[in-house]
Amino acid sequence: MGLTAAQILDLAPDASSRKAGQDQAKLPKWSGLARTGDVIWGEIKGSGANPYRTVADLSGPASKCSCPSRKFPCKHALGLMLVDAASPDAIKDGEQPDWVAAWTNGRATRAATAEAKADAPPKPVDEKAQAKRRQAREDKVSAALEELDLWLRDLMRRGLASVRTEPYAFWDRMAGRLVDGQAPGLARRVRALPGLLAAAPRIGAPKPEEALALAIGRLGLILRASRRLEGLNPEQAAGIRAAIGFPVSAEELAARPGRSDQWAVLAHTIEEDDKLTARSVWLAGRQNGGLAQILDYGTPGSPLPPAPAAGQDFTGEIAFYPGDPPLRAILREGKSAASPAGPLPGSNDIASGLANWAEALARAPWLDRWPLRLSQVRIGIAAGDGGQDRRFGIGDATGSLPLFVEPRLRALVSASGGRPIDLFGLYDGYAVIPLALSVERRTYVVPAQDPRPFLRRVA
Amino acid sequence: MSAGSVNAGSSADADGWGLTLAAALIGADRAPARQAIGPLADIPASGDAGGDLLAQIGALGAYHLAGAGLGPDVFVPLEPFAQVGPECPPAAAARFVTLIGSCGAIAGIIAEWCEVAAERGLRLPPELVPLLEDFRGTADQPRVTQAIAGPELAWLRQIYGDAPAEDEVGDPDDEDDTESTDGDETAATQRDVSAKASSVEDWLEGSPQQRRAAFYGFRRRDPDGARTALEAVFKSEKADAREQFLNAFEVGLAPADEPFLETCLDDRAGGVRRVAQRLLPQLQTSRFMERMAARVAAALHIDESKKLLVGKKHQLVVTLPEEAPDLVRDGIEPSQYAWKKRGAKAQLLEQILRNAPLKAFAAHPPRVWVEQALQGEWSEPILVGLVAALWRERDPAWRSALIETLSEAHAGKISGIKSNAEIRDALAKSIATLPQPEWEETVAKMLKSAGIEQVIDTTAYGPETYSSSFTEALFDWIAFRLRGGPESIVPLRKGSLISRLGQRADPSDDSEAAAAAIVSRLPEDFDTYLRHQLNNMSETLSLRVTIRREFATR
Repeated sequence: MGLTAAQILDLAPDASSRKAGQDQAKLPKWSGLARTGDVIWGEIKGSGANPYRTVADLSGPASKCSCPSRKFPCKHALGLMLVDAASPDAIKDGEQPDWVAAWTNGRATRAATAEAKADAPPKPVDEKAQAKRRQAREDKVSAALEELDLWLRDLMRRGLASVRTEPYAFWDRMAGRLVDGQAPGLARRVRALPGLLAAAPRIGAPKPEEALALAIGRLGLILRASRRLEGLNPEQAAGIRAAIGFPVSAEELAARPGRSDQWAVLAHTIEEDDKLTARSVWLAGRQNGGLAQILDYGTPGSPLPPAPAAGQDFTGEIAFYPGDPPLRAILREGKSAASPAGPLPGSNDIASGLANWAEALARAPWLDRWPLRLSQVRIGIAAGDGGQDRRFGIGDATGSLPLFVEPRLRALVSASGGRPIDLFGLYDGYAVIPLALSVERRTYVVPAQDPRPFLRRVA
Repeated sequence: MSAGSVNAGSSADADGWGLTLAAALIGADRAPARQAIGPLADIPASGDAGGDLLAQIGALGAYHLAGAGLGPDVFVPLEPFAQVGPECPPAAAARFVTLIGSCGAIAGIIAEWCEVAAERGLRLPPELVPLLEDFRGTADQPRVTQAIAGPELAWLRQIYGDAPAEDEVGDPDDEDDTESTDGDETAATQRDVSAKASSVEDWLEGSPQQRRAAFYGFRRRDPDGARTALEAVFKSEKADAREQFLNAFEVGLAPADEPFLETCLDDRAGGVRRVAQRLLPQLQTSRFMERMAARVAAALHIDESKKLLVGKKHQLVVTLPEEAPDLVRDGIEPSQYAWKKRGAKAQLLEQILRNAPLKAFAAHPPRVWVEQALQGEWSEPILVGLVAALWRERDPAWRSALIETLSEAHAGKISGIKSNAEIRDALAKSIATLPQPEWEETVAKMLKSAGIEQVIDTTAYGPETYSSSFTEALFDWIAFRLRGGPESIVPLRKGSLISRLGQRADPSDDSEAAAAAIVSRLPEDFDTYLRHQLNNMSETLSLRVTIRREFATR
């Protein structure tokens, strides 16, 4: 499998690794370069006494390096893969040295062990203890929800205009109570509230007070739904439990039905929150047209797992988490390869996109955003607006939507050249945040971690 | 839930969201009683005002968002932009993205990338064009930017309502030189942008940037008309605007501008005076230059007397100028922040010579002036001033005199003169005024015979890029020096020869190999600092060669 330089750079854990990886991507710095199929290896002189030994499996992609870096992949692994991307002919076929063979054998053994473990009969479960633990958690969550309900009703009685002057501790205290009450999903939503109030007004975003009211309304809806879980179907109930923060066990996830397709990787998005990095990989099925969000979390000590890059197709099976409407999923067996150029799979006109959004809200009204795939829309300006407040949007014969204003919008306008485009983005009821577009058999993505005004061409 | 055509962002309140939001802001205790309408009809009242308002804001918020969206009638699509040429290869585009995020010396490499693209008639891919908007690069960057992404940038600026760049508002007749095809919409857009910005009245209205850009266009199209128009309103403009407009006189500067620039020497704004003081020395027949010539005559005089047998004897007499208001008016005043510490009068003398026309020294041949300057007490400010005047005028006779005389002085062939850093620097600067082939020929001779310090001093100036033959000679010379002892290697640490060579060497495969060979042959215990410099040089050159290779790929 050939990864492009852009796809390799997307694997970098941070901006400094990207830069350092590019510095290592110089052929003269490497010695002993060779390959066997998708496995490439080489040695590079570092600050240590001995050269670092670096090996990478492009089909993973996965890598290992003898350098002491805690970053994964390290700059040497990135450099090695970039050397291969820049000049594939420079790395000739060769016999694997012992240290490469040890790594590849170890990977194969671990994969086989994991497979055997999955196939092995489950250990007997102490159902009584399990039920006791589950009940204890339910009780704790229930108490936390009661406390949140009281807090929210107090807020509504006071009025949201009066909370502008509240310190961060006012919100953080409630979020902390929810963490203690084992409702991390709600805690995350409460912790985001002061940020909504403090946000500067932006074109394409609700005013701070309105954003706060909507967010509090969503919390109220989750609370209300949580009181009548018994009356809902299992998928709906699971969606509410997920919003509260109940985890889904590995066994439960393993029992979920898989869905096979040729999944186009539309885009990556990364959100960084203090020490936690959340990466979403957005997939669209080429045959069934379904959408999926592969959400992974990384911390400094636990890097993000490998994932197919934007612009690739993942051919294989995924499984959706329980929830309604289904969106979050995990990757199962499959292989990644370069995507064929063409329109975005499953895209439709704006009216259909808005109908999908309304339907998703009807099923889960606490949704913040929902992915839209739009076909043959044009970028333009909302009539009547002008000057600095001119508002960019997308439109077709069935309707129009504003675009979220950010520096990379300029690159989006430039790449479109005013021609019809297929657009993938996230919609929040106010504006579309563009993540990828396809124009005349070219596909571009908005770089996940680079705020500069440009798009990355992936096909 | 119905999805009506309500805009979530608009102030329309068809679904009652506005009223509900207002109630949430003022609080349930003060808000009017809840009315169960629309989607709220199904929600039973609980008796708790806060709880009811919470349910209301949740349900109506989702209902409001579900009905968001605008109709097609309020949307005006952008006019399509037709691409005007082939794009650079993907590898080159990826390199551009990598480079443009860097800073420092890389700016020169980015400018070179743009130059290579322009030379090959290739365009920056549209998705990368906004990255180029804030890049300034070299003085030639506007032309290069115009060549690789001009129409695309003009289209974007028109869409965003930005001021056009200065290079976009030139003579409308010049637009035929752009690569756009006749009759296409790109050319129409270009003409629209230019015509709009370059109309005569335009420069009087708009934002400061728009007015500045429009005035540059006006000046480029009609220098006399622009000057006359500016004179009419000059005094009523703010100081910053006056300075900006006067800067535009660099375009099409002519003797006819001299009277206006002369009046600007008395402007109340220091910035305006400084621009006039910078522009006037470029006009040989200006009153400014006449005054400078008179000051030279008052400050420097050569007494000539006959020798006993044959020839003449010369003696330079220096009368140091005094600080005076008329000198300050012309920008001649001492600075306590001067790079080299000199007395106030010596600074005045140097500045007068810098700005004086070389014809002011017509009483004697240039060589006599240079010899006398070297032998006198004030040799340093006089030499610096004369060399600066030579840089401005590039007079061949003065160049020959300075190079020959300073070379002799450096070689110890003039009695009583010992070579020093000032003489070497003045000689290097004088040699740098030679055309590139002659400069390279002169320095190539030095590589064979001159001392290492003179080579290093001389290469501190000169052309920005070297020819392949000179690059080869220079690498051979460096390799030879590196094989020598410490007396041969240590001087290479000084100066900028090695650090700048990566950017100046001819970017060919041979040069890259020569640089890499030099680095690979360095012994293990080699000087760390110099090794670092050589590594950087080799990597920079390799990057420049790689850039060209990437442009050759498809």
